[in-house]
Parts: sequence; structure tokens; C-alpha cells
Amino acid sequence: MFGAWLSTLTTAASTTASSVSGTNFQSLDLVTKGLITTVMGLLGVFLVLLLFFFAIKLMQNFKEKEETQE
Amino acid sequence: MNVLFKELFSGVVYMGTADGLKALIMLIISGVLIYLAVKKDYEPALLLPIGFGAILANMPPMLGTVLPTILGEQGFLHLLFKYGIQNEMFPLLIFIAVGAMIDFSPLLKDPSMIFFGAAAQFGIFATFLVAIFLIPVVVPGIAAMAAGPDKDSIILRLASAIGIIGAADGPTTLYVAGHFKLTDYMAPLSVAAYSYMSLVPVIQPPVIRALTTKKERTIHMNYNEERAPRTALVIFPIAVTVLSGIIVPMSVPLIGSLMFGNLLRECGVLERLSKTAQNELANLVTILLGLAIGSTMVASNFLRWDTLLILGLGLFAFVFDTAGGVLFAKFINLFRKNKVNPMIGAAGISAFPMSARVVQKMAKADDPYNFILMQSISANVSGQLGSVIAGGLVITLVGMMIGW
Repeated sequence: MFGAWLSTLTTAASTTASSVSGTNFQSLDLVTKGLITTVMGLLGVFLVLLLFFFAIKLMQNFKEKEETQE
Repeated sequence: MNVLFKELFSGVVYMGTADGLKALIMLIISGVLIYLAVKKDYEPALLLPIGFGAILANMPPMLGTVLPTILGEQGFLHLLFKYGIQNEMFPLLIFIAVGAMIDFSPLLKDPSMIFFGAAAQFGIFATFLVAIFLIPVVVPGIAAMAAGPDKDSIILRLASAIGIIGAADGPTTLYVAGHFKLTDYMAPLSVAAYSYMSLVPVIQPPVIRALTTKKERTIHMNYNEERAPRTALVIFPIAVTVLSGIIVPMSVPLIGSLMFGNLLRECGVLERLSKTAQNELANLVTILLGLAIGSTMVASNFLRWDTLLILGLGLFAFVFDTAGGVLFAKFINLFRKNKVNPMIGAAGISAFPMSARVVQKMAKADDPYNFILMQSISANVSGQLGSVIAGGLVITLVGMMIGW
């Protein structure tokens, strides 16, 4: 069930990404291209580091487990 | 006899020509770089090889040729550049070495510091935007191009490499420049990136002081001395690589090299390899990288208006990255009960560990009992991650805009 959902989601995302990247962006004017890159870039950095933040929060649980084992 | 003398003293004759005078100016610039390395101790491991590489690159060519032998098709510096920088090999090897030197333990204990690593990338994107407006004005060659996708392409590619200088991350700058085939701009880009990295103690303090009050700079922060669990330290580099690879595939070469180096360090069973990465690999690649960068400083590639533009915008990016981090820290202080010292934000750039040291030194200058080194280190290693992710995103987004 989850596998099918993930597969559909991935296919939809890649199709959208390829159609958007292939056609729209290159025809935009220079300043718009710059603005999109700036906004998406900054948001992207925050998003990825936010994911790292949650990953570290998860890893902090190892501390309690290691302490219990000791 | 005349021909014999011409052959023998072709170098002397060359130095009297217009090209020779340009080469002479480059020799003076090389001398300044070596002086900064030897006398001022500014990033000597890089500035000295770069300076000497530049001397070699500006020697007179053989009679009837344009470039010195060392830069010819089979020349040693040409090969170093071709197989070390043009194919992005040296920056990635340097990242393995840097990864083996980084201890992510402070970050794993206080992950909230990771957001300073994101905020301090503000300068990259601000500079990218400013560069888009300035490049067509300052670089006549680009302005003369017919309007259209080619012009947009070179402007966006150059602007992205200039912006990355702000992260104070030389290898990422070289990686982005190499990826976008900016061979003609490699010299000023790398010189700006590496010289500003070495000038962190000069550039950052005035920016931090201008944006903070003494009261803010004396904020104390608590730190828990215990080390992060070993399992977490081993899993962290793997998790970061996988997450980055899924979200920003273009960042994989950079983040993968950095995290592989870190895994060597943290796995606990490869101490010999970890030490090799930290010492022998780092030293060897630094020597070759410096020489290869220096070799790009040929007068015809360097003595141009766009060099001044790149150096100026590089400084702008650096200042705005620092400011972005400090202002973000001040912003989150509006909502936090336990205030953070806003200087920590400035350590969110990638110059590791110099930026963290500068912040601690400033904190100590205002209050000898203020110890914020570990928090600064956390922000600093986050900056390393942030700049690599920013590099991957810039390559992806600009690639989409120009159809690369």
C-alpha cells in the first residue's frame, strides 16, 4: 500500500519536474531567473538543513539507548 | 648570430613588450601573495603555492609560442589543472580531508545551531542577484553578446560562482566554477575565494561589531561537555549523504566526499586512514591545488576588469553572509527565552575553524569569562554543510534555468 503510494508520488513529482524544467524556465527573462534561483536556493538550504535537524533529533535517542546498555 | 641572440635572449626581449609588462605586474602580484603567506601568515599553505604557481605561469614563452612551456599541452601545470581542477577532482579530495578533520559532536548535542549554517548562506544568493545586474555593465565582452540564451547562460553561471565565494568555501567555489566550465574566470574566482578565507579575522569583526551591541556580544550560553553518542556520530555522515542525495542529487559529489572523510574519522576502526586523510592527503592535494590555481593566473586571464568585479563582489558576498548569520541570530532572539549570542551567527560561514575562533576571540575581548567556542564550532560545521548544499542547489537551479 505504502509502496504503491510512494511510487505514484515519485512518478508524479518527476513528471512535473521534468515538464516544468524543460519548458518554462529557459524562456523567462534574466532577472526572473535570478529571483527564482535566489528564493528557491535559500528556501532549499533551510529545508535541507531542517531535515538534518530532525535527523539529529532522532539520533539523539541513541544516547539513551547506549546509556541503558552500559 | 642575430638569430642565435634572439633565441637566447627571447625572454629578455619578451619582458620589454606589452605582454611582458603585464607578466611583470603578475609577478608583483605573485610576490604580494607570497609576502602575505610568509610574513603575515595568511593561509600560507594555499597562498604560497598559488603565488609560486603564478610566477611559473608568467614566465616568458619560448620563441614562436604564446604560453610558457609549463602551460603548454604537455606542460606539468596544464596537466595539473586539466586533471585536478577542470574535472573537479582536487576540490572533492580536499573535501574528504576536511570531512576527516570535522567533529560534528557539538552539533549533534545542540542541533538548533544548524540553522545558522543556513542563514549564513544569505550572502551567496544576495550576491548572485547583484552580480546578475552588474556583470553586463562591467564585463564588456558579455554585454556585447547578442541578447538571448547564451548571454543569460554565461551571466547566470558566472554570477553563481561569484556568489559561492561568500560561503568562504574555496573547494565549493572551484567545484561550481569547474562544473559551469568557467575556465577563463577560474583564476580570479579561486584567488578571491581563498584570499577571503584567509582574511576572515580581518573581514568579520567589523561587520559583527557594526550589527551588535556590547550587551548582545556578552550574552553567555550554556554548554554540556559530554560527547555525542558514538552510534549517532557514525550514522550522521551516512544519513546526511542519503538525505542530501535524495533531495539535492547535484550536491552528492561534494557532500559525499565530505561525509566519507567524516565517516573515516568517526567509525573508530580506520584511524590510520583517517589520519592519512587529515594529514598526507590534505597536504598533498593542497600543494597541487595551489599550484594549479596559480597556473591560471596568466596575465591575459587576470588583468581584466572582470577580475576587479569578481574580487569586489566576492567581498560583498562574504560581508553579507556574515551579516545574514548575525541578523538571523538577532531575529530568533526575539522569540527565544534563552537568548543566543548573535555573534554565533557569523560563524555560520564555511571557513572552519577560523570563523569560530574569531567569534570566540571577540566574545573574550568583551568578557573574559564568556566561552562560546563550542556553539561557534557547531554553527561553523553547519556552515560547511550549508555551503555544500547551497553549491548543489545553485548548480541544480541555474542548470534548470539555462538548460544544462
